Amino acid sequence: MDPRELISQLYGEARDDVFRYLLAMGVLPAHAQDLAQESFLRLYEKLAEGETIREPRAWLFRVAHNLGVNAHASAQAFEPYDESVHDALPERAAGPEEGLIGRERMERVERAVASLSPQQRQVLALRASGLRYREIAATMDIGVSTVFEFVTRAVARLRQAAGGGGHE
Amino acid sequence: MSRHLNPETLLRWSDDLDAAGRAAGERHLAECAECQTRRTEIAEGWSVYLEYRDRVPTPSAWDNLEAGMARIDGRIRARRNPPARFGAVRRWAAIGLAAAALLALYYRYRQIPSVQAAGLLRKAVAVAQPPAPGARIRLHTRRTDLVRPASLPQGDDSAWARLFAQAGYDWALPFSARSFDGWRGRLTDKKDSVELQPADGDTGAPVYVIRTSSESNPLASATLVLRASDYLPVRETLEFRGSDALEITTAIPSTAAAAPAPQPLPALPHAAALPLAIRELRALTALHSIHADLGEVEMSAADQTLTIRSVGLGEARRDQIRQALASADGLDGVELSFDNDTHLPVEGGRAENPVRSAPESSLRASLALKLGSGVSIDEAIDRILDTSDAMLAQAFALRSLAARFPPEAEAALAESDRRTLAQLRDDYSGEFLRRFDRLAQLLSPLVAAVPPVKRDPAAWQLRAAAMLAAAKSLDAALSAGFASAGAAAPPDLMVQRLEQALREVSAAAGGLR
Repeated sequence: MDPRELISQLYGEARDDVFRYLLAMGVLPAHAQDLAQESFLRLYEKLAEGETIREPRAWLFRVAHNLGVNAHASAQAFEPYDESVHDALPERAAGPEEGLIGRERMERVERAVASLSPQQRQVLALRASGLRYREIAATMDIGVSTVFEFVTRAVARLRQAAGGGGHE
Repeated sequence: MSRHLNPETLLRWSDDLDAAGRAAGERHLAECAECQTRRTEIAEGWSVYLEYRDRVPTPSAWDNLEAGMARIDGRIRARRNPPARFGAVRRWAAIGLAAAALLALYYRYRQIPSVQAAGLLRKAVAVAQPPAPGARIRLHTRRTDLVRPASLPQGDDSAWARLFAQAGYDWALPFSARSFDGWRGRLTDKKDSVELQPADGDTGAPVYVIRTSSESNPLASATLVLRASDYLPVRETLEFRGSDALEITTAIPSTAAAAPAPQPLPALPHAAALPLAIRELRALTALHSIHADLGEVEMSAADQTLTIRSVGLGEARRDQIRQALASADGLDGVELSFDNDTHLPVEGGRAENPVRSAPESSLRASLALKLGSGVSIDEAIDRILDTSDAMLAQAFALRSLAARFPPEAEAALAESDRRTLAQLRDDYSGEFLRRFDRLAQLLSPLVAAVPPVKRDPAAWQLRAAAMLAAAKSLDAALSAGFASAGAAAPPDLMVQRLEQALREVSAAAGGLR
């Protein structure tokens, strides 16, 4: 496929995912959008240069990860996760039947997400973006078994926070 | 009963567990309530996360990437067309001796002569205006001295015209960056050099001297001198094989009066000629919709004809431009001229991550110190310089728009066209300001915050020129501070220069916020 077509298609499909991943890394929303766009342009440059990238989507997240790591060093581009994202979450439009219980449940979930380690949030975001576990490991430069461990602990904590019972 | 399924197996259940693993897991799950429960719990946890994730707001508007991709295309074209002396090194690289060493010279690709020349010419083409009515140029050789109109209609059959045609150089408008760039772009072999001279021998002003030579073209070498402050041509020297060197300059009026009678001038349209102005506006809007209005094409108007020219575009991009123009209302009769592009086959051997190890400039070292070891200084500087490039592109576009639609021409437009013009203006200025804010943020480890500026009631057309001038000063300061190896000025002076340039841009653009 022509690089422009591929990027246009991928941009439509995955830009929100890349944006969410950068948020999960703690990048501020305004900066995350810039970096997400930059990630697609870097992928385009590689493809336009004639390079073959077998898994463009995974490559894209890898670039976004590197850009996010760099942004991490800039105080203006980086804030603690809970302040950057949760403040921006819209009020949930709960029906009367959900009411207070639903809101409290989601607040518990939000607190639980904020309490996860940065890597746990990142693996969740990548997995939810459709990356396979080995791709997540390559993106974050960690072992596959570590990815499994992060996911297992994270989903257990979220389930517990949502009031589903069980144990971590 | 077999051993319990491990967390890995349960997590991979949904997608990348192979068939054998899944079959074994299914057999185990059928008889193990504990594993069934754990699998359900994992699914529930995931469900909670996905519910949370769906509530995280994402941007409602995203930039179109076309402009960025077009810039990248340009960079790639430039990289694929390196000067001949690098070709020899690449051959060595191909046998595995020196690719890394070659790339180590590439501290910044804008420093490679071919790329630097391409970048300067791009800027010069972007700021160029059609010659004013009555403008003359002087063509001087050892034996002849001729004054002629700066722009001639096609169809001249003089000896000079034939010589220029053989070389592929535009005789109709020979003293222009566009003609130089067009000739240079067609060369299959070329060698560039670029020099910044602090004081030109004729004008005393700083100038860029771009020299391109070819082994195969009838025009063996061409040298274009551009004023550093505004990229306008100062002097051009063409050395045709077997002929005397031809020097072209702007003819001053007294010279013109003493010269042979000039040929009739082609009539140039008045900027406010309404039908043409509206067609220009619509063409610009169409080009803007696909982000082709930032130096990628050049639009000119003469004799009520609108001409859009470009060099080096790929077929897909040409089609996009054709379609965008075809879909615009009332835009019949636009002449499109896509010169044969200069795409070359991809050369192998380009390393994935070129090493940039030029001597450190003073600001580079300061910035590296401020950012700390966790940040790639190369990437940080690339981002700074790219942001400045993007600012310049918007400033050029805004200045061109202002030149096409001076206040009186704007006032003559219908209300709907005025709104269209305002939208274009706001798009350029908005993007300019967005990039400027980003640049100020990127430079914040080094420089003081730029103070807010009061609104300026001057017409936007006047501010556009000031913005472009200020953006160029800022770009020059950045290049001197970051892209030039071994900058002579100490860091604190470079920082002061940067802060001053930032304040000037802020002041020039203040009225647009």
